Amino acid sequence: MWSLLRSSSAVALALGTLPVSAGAQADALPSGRAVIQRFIDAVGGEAALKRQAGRHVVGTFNVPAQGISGDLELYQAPPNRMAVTVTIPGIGTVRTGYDGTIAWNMNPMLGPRVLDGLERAQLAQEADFESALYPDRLFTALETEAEEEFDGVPCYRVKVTTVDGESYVEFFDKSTGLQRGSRRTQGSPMGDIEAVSVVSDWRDVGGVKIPFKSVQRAMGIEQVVSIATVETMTVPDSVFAVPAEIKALAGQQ
Amino acid sequence: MLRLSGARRAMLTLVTATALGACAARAPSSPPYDPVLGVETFEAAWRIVHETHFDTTFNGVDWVALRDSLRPRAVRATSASALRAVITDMLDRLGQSHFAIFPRELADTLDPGTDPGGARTGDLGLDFRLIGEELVVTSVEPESPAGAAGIRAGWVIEAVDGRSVADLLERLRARNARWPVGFLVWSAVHSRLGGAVGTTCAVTVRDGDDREHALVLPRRQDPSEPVKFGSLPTFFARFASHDTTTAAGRPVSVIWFNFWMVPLIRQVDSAMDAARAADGIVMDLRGNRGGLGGMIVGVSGHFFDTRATLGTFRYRQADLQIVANPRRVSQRGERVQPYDGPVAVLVDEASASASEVFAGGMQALKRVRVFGATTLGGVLPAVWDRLPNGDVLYHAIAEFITSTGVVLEGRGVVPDASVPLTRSDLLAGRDRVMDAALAWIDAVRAEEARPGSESSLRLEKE
Repeated sequence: MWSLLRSSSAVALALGTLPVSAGAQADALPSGRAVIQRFIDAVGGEAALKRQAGRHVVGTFNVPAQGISGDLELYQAPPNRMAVTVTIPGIGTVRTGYDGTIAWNMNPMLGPRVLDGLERAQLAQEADFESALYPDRLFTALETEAEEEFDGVPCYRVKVTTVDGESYVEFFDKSTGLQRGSRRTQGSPMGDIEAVSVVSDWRDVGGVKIPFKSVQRAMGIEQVVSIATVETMTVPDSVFAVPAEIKALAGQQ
Repeated sequence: MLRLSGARRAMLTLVTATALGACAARAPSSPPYDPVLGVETFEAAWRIVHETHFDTTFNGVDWVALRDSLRPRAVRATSASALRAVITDMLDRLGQSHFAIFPRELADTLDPGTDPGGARTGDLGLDFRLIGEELVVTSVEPESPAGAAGIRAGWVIEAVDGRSVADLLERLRARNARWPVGFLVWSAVHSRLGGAVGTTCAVTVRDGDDREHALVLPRRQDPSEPVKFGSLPTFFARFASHDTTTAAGRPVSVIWFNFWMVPLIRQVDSAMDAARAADGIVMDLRGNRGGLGGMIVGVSGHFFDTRATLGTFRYRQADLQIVANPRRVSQRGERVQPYDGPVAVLVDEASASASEVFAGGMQALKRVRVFGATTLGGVLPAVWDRLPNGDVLYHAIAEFITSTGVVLEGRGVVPDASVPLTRSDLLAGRDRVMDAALAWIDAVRAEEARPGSESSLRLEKE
């Protein structure tokens, strides 16, 4: 899933600049930096990541147990812009975006919102397309805490600390080096929610492996994002234009 | 973030099981019954509730013992309907709202996009309530079959298709003590009046002079908008708004809708944009049986300039807040001030679920004044899961607690001003609940106009 890919990439590329204390980790465990470096190599290497100018993703969103399904479209571009559209029958179109300054959401049920707090911080992190080049703007620490079976697979559990003070854990497959998932407190309009994400079906797109399937479990509900196509491209600026409603809310009109 | 902004709201829904009365239904055409699958389905329904119920005491029910006692009946079941009866019995033991089982056919085959002529999408165009022992018509759409036949507000429905309302009342009273009989008879008679478009319905009514009329009315296509959301049954959603004036001539906007369904939200938002200059707003939620709880965040935000917490959804794992999202921008993208004038909410015993969260949450914050009759008291946020045999289990996963700590499940929203319906008022064309709301708006505005008055007192008077 794109968001996990972004998180993973960001984490991965943090290794180049972050100080990691070898003494802080058990001898048997690789450092957080080493885990992340292995992940970078597994997805195609730093050079391949840098070649990605932007991305257009098309897929589906499903809540299988409830029979809910919809279409998903995502654009990402450097340095840190993102636009997501999810269309669900019975709900309508939900748009989310970040233009490097304003994190916003337009959900017909809730009305337009300019995000703040944890919601904003997490969206800004997800949107950072250049985390590979500037990792220290996202993370302050990476620490391999333990080996742990995650989703039935032996993994390294890496604790990530962001510049906003948030901590969460990512899991990396011991055998492949690829990210397997994460456990994180997600910000939402209703408060913080504990969520577990599992990513799989890694496929090569322009020299970079991307997980084509992501499953998130939170509050007893499982949500599945399946990617159909990923296009590497230069995304027009207009895609990331902040809607008039959001501009008005943000005091830009 | 996508996972939350785009989809999580789907999870945090609040849909009343009692909304089934308004959902299209088709006589099931079930495949051959598989008893092994039936037992598996029973076990799955039990397990889902066991794992997700917000109250680990299961409202005082020994959930494990209940499974053990009912499982033999599930094993003996020889049809899908018999199995559903066992599961329904299990769910009913909880004594709570928002537990139900939807037949697979109801969940699957009533997609209005592919099945526009659903068997029960026809109606007669009238509404009614139980007043004393009489089922009294409260409104009739002029262009509807009921309106064309001359039925008027204040008339009494005596029988539907030869079945007596009095007998129905007696049976409902005998077998169900949990829900108000007024709601039960309202729901049951609506179900009886519905049917396939073009079929007829025999209705016996008593007019204003107590003369009996035996009418045969054709069912029209329900003019509501069919809304299909996941594997929930189809909802038929309607919206209406109009302007009126108080006795003192003050302009008031009235907003009505029958379900909290998202396709109506643009109409609600448009009505709010049009109502900004009004001296008062009336949110008429009488007969509104709930819907998607996420809409409450957006609709309530029209009445707050800062984030305001209407209450808490208490799940097993966590507490989540229902926080009004201040609506500081119009549909045209213009910066606006959320409405700060007096807001009246009209409710009755058929107002349920999301309507109760809205009314009770806003009432607790003293942002609205509630008029009418105590609401149903079915206020548990719920989700739904597909069972192994294709049926859908609808089950509560949280309870709602207002910002003042009141649990509304089983209690309902008690109006600030209780206004009983009378048949004589209806026959005279009077809506006493609406009249009371308009009079209150007049009083608030008059008080505000008085030198030295503070508008913040508007909800603490009377």
